[in-house]
Amino acid sequence: MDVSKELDMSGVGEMFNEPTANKLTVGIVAFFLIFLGINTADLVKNNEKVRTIIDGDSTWTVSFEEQIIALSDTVIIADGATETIGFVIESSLLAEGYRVGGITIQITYGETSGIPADPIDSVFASIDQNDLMVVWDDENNTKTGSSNDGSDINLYLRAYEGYDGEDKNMTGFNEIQVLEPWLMEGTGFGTLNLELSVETNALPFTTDNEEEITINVNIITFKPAAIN
Amino acid sequence: MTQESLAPVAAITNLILGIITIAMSNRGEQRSSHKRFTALLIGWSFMFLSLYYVAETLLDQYFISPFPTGFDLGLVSYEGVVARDSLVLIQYGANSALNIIMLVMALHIPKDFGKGTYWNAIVIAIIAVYCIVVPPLIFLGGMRLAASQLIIWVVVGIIWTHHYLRGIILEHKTGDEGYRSESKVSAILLLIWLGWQMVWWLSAFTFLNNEWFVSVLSQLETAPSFLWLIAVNLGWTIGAITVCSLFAGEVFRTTQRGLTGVSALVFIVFFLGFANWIQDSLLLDAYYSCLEGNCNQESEIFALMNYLTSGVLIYLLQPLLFVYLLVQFQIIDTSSEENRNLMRVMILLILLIISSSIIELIQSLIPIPQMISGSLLAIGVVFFIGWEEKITENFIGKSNKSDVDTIGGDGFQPNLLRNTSILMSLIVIYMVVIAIIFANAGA
Repeated sequence: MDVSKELDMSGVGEMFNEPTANKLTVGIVAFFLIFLGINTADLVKNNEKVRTIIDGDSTWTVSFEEQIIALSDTVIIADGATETIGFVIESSLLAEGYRVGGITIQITYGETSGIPADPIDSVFASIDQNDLMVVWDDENNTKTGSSNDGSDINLYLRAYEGYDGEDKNMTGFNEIQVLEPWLMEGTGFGTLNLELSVETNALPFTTDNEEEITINVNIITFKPAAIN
Repeated sequence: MTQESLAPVAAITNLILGIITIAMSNRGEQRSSHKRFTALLIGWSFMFLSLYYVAETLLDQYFISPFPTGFDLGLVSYEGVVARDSLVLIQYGANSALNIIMLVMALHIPKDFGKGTYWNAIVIAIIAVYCIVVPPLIFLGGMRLAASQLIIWVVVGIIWTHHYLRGIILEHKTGDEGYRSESKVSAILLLIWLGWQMVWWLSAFTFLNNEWFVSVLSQLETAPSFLWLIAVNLGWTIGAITVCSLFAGEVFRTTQRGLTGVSALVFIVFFLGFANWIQDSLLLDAYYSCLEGNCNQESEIFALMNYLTSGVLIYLLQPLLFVYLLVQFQIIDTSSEENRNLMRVMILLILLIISSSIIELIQSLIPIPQMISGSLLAIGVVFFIGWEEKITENFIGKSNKSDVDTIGGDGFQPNLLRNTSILMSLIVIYMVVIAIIFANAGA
């Protein structure tokens, strides 16, 4: 086929030889431009809203309001015996919006035989690892303790990962995001089993074969709040 | 519920179709060289689509699944991982090539804008210069520059919409079926290239696309420019306007002359706009979740709807419509026995791939046992083999004279056609090489 070398743009003229179609196309182009303008204005508005949040101050301080729930029990344990004392921790103990952050246990005892100059007994305490919802491997935990001079035994279990009661600096676009790590449900729930054993020390020709022990369990609960 | 990506299927389908189409375009030297050039354009569109989907498949398999339209809007950037970045840059390169081929098609089908050797040379030179210059500019100047290419979509959308309306009006005025062929080919080309944007038309008109885009904006570390925000809306806006024009045109034509396959397809795409709008409305909270609550963007509903609408249109319908165009408008020569065999391969291949993909698609939505889906596929295979001749004849024999004559224009000298193929091959190599170089340089 012979092909002309001349640049002939007659196809453009042919394309626009129908007046009705031309008018419709002009209308469509005009509508396109108007609609594009409106749509872009809307998107720009959305973008401004987004940038205000993203480029704004995204640092937050999360503080914690604490409430302590106290449980206690007193038991008498015979010499050489080991007893397990259980404390059930459940949601009904907690106020609305609070979560368990940690559990402190204080074990107190004195010499209760009534014999003058009777030496103080020895008490051993340990927390049984079970399905209680705490951070069992936290390095701040104190799961065992003992005393042979009547001093208190203090034990501690962290229930909520990272919770130490101190304010935290967090980053996020909104309160929900920064509070999210502190809204985990169910932590600290279960049965806290405390194993106690006693070894009595008695004067010659006297009898001291048991000890009275008081256990005070403080459940530290917290409610987080974020300030921008 | 997870959906298997259709990208690997599309990659293989497009590759095979590309090879067959290019091979067929080189046959029958006595045929209209304009049609041979058109076949070449479609063949190389298949090849670039295949390159794009191969990169997408590998990227999806080993690295990331970007946002829909992520590459059109330049949302995917370097990450310093050479393999990942190479795939990303290959996708940007293939995307640029597809954009310019689409523009050349619009200047060329159904009717040539220009004539003469110079015009033909200019058209081919435009493809070459664009493919050589634009990808490196994007790689160096920032990926968001890619969004400026959406202007091409607008130009193409307006050209084909005008052709379409002109065809509808002239057919109504003169009763000449040739004009229907013109409007039909324009409608099909619009559905092929912009169809996946059209399904969001109602969300565009109700600004819900902008609400969805908040989920994208909230992930951007730096503030986007005003020009980029304009570019973002170009695709949705032209998609919305073209589908409404097609819908109005087909409703008008259907009332006058009855329903056709193209009309039905336009109505389906138009209807999908409602489905996607409902989905967008349901997910409004999720779009704002990163700003107003906890990020919740992994929406299964969005993924499913996107998969069933845009995904099916891009991956499955696009090659099917291209094949329909090739056969119905006799862009490739179907008269010789040699070509008929290739045609059979092409038609059966696409029917089999699409039917197996649809079965996979159903299986990903409804957990039917593989025994049943395997049996269904076997039934399909037997059906296609048994009725192979009838199916092929049905495809080939349906062309009417007006369809055949619709795509016409100036002749191309044989050496220009040969050079086009060589040029396109070199562009593919160039795209891959510069992608690897830039990825290694970490530009």
